[in-house]
Amino acid sequence: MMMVNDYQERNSKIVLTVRRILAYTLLIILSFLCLFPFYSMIVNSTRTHSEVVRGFTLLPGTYVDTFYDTTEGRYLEDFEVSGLCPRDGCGAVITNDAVQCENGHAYRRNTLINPVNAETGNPVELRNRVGLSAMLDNYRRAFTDTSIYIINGLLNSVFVAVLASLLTVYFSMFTAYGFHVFNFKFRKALMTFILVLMMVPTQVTTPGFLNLIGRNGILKPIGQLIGNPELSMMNTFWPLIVPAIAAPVTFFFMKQYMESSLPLDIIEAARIDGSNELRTFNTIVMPIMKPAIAVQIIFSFVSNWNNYMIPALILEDPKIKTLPVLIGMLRSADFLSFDLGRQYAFITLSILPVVIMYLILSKYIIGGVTLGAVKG
Amino acid sequence: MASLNRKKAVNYAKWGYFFIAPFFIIYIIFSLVPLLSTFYYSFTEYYRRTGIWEGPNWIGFENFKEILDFSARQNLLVYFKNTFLIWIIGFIPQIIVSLLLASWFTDLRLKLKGSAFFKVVIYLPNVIMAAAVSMLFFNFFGDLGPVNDIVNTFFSNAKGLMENMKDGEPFKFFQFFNSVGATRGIIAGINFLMWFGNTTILLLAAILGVDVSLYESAQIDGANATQSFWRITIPLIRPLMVYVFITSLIGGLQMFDIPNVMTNATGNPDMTSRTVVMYLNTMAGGGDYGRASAVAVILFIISAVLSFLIFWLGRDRDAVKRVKRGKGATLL
Repeated sequence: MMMVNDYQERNSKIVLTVRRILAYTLLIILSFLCLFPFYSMIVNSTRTHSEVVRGFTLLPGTYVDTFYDTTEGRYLEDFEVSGLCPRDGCGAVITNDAVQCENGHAYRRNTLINPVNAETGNPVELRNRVGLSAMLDNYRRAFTDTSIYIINGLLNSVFVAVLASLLTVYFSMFTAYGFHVFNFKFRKALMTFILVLMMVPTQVTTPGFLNLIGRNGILKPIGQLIGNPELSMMNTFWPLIVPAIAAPVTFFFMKQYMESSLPLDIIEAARIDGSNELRTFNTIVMPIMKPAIAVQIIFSFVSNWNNYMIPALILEDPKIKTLPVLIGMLRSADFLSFDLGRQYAFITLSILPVVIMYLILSKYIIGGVTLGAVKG
Repeated sequence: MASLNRKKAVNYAKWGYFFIAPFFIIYIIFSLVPLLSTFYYSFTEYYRRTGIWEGPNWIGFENFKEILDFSARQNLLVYFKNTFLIWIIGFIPQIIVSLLLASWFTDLRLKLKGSAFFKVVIYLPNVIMAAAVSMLFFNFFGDLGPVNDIVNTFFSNAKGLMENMKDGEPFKFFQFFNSVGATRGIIAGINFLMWFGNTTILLLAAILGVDVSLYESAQIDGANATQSFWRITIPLIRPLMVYVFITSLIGGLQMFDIPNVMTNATGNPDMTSRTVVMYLNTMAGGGDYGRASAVAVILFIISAVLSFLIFWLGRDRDAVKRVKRGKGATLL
């Protein structure tokens, strides 16, 4: 009997070790899948186009073999360098993307004989351009790009996401407070109504929504009154910000939170002390709700920051587009596919703020997933 | 409880309306009116051509007939099929991996280290902008991308193509975005990557809600991990899995950002990656509100049926409630 137990124990220990190895292997593979694309994105954003097309690397770009104009004392960016082919001395030209020689030989940049800047005739030499300024070169060019206004995009996204998430959280709490504390006619029915709304996908209202904010919509009477029939909310931030006031999912979360952590006695005490309802809400209820506010602001900010479809339909002026819309433009802008380094810089700029926020606040976010989760 | 009722009985009804008013006013203006008008426009001819608006003129079911014309090569049913296929290709690995991870994280005997770190890592893709992730993967798998490079180098070496290639003859690349399966697979893969962490954490909460003594007594009775997983965990979290399944399906129906950016709104190759909402977006963006509304109405009806299913299925089951009680979670 003893023997059998020993055998079973040893056997189960082996099984456990095997399972542990399996679990860690899968977890490491999945972690790699989750992290590597974004790591690679950051690395690629520091490399030149020709380095990017060479494939993945783990180290940031160093601008290896960049042509340095010794007369003018600067690195060449969009260059055309001519010299002699190392194989047979025929004429050869190197540009940003291509290495050509009259006789069709392949050779390396550093073997070119007597390289000169084809435009000015100045002699040039190859240097390894290292350091921060080289690594951030794509960012410098991304910031000064004249077709995709990334700085505007960042500011627009921050503006819309901050305002919309503040409105969502404040008014969801406001509404939840109304349902939690007061009793009125149709209270139950209205509650159920909001619960049903939670499941309506936002996209299904798109045509009606576009019509509403367009020139035949809600502002038409005002437009006619002030003599501007073109008046509409198209191409403005209002349709992205104001509707944030009515957020059924956040409301529902707040309602649940109040049921567990907002005793009615406190409100009653405030009433006895002569505080009016609005003041009670702002000065007494809000501080109690702080944990819920923190979680919901994060979720609301992230979803607004990432919102793509509606902003893409509304924002037309390139200077007021938000980041996801600019990323969509990046895809359709063919000319940028010849400068992948800069493309990666654009993508990194649109992702990084949320990633940094996530890493700082991940504790609250992971904890909040199971609390208000409705999407799956 | 009596004191609670007494306090509520004080006539503060006016204040109640004051507090709920902003929500309802904004909801009615920006969501309910658009929803109802979308229903109305779906029965009308309403479009913009060369900047001039036509309609809305009542035409009955014409829009629906047009988008559901099954004899046409491209119709709404095809887009539903595309959407569903892409969703299911991503969802199957998602639910399997999530179940595995959730059961491992909660396994009493396994005692995995660093689970907090892994949770943070696997949830990370969920917060990142879908449009940007899509663009990133487009660059990785595109013609100039590193994955394409690796695949083509591998295949060309394997087949000895490199040696046989003549000068100046263009090398025949495998292009991910010219292949129906590869394009759909990449979109589904991104969906998987973005959502498996979320599903894991939901299932984790559900499993943590299961009474630990059940596992302990099973262990004493000699059940191994596989047995307690199939006999205890799965039956008890089944309602939550149904919830995850249906909410994911509703989310899948709304799939837009990833395929739209990845295929530059075309749904190529040959519109096989065009989803329902991409079609809706193209119609709405092009100013064809009539037909866009018809698509929206059909989408609404299907989502409504699915949502109703959640309520109906979640009604008398207790697992969702258990999650609520156990972890303070409120799923429905």
